[in-house]
Amino acid sequence: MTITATTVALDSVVEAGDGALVSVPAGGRLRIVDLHGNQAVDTLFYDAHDIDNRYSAFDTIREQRAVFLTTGSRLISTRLDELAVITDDTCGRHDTVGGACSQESNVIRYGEFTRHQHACRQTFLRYGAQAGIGQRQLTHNINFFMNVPVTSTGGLTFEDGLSAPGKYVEVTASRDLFALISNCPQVNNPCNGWDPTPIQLLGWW
Amino acid sequence: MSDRGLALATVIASTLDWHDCLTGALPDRLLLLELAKHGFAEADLHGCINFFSKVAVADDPRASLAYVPDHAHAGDTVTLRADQDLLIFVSTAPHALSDGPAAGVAVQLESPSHVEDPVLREEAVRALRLTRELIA
Repeated sequence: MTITATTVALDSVVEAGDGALVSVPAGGRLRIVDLHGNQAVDTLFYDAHDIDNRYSAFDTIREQRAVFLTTGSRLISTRLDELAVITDDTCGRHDTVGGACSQESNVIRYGEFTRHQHACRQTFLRYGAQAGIGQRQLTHNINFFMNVPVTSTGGLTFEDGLSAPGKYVEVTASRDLFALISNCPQVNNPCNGWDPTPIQLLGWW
Repeated sequence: MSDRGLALATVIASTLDWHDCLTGALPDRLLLLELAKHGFAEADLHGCINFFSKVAVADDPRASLAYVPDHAHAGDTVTLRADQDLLIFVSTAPHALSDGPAAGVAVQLESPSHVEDPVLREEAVRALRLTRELIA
């Protein structure tokens, strides 16, 4: 790998159930480290200069002719712009069809007792607000490190993760971006190994 | 299902066993114009259903996709039951992975009548119950 003259612009830990809004300039590299393994990191990307030009799971899936994301995946926007490219990945594959948990989806999946559990939707709204990202702008996200097998018969399940402590994924921004991150608090399915844990964010730009 | 955990509509009949909901649609000026008439805009567009299209998923490490031509034929139908009052936006653009021309569709609305629930997953049963409680 060619090392270019960049500095460490970001090095922070996001606790389980917390989130972050990260401004990544074009050419910047953002690495997400799964510190303890099997931790879903719900992530959305937006063009920093026009948040309506945002990550589109469906355009990304169609353009790469594959459901899972990994090294080489181009993250495409609703206007078919390339927002970022996954340039390194020690986990192997990442989900973008399982969505983010919300209080409402928890209720219908797991029952009324989950209504007041913290959920990714709350984290997205809290951290997105400072960039003007609200309910209308919350769309289908990437779940880094999450294992959601999709089968040829159309089946889809949330399964125990493929990730492990220290695995990481890195994206390189193709334009100025906001990365909106929710370190998933879900405890009702195995997406976090039933035990949400912290992640590390590293940025070079 | 809506993003607030409520039932929007239920597929109660379909002559096809697969309608694509993974591969979205290309930006569509006419669809945006229709949205604008109702106060919606680009920010309100999310993943769509591509009725009558199939994009097959392979059991390989990346879940590779391949568009299936000739999946639907003239006369195929899908029937939805609205589970709450809905606005439905329909565009007959060709599927983004198809090199064929667009074909028209006929849309028929029937007045509400009681339709038994088909066999549903537990999540869908809960969503329907919550929706019916809310609109009752």
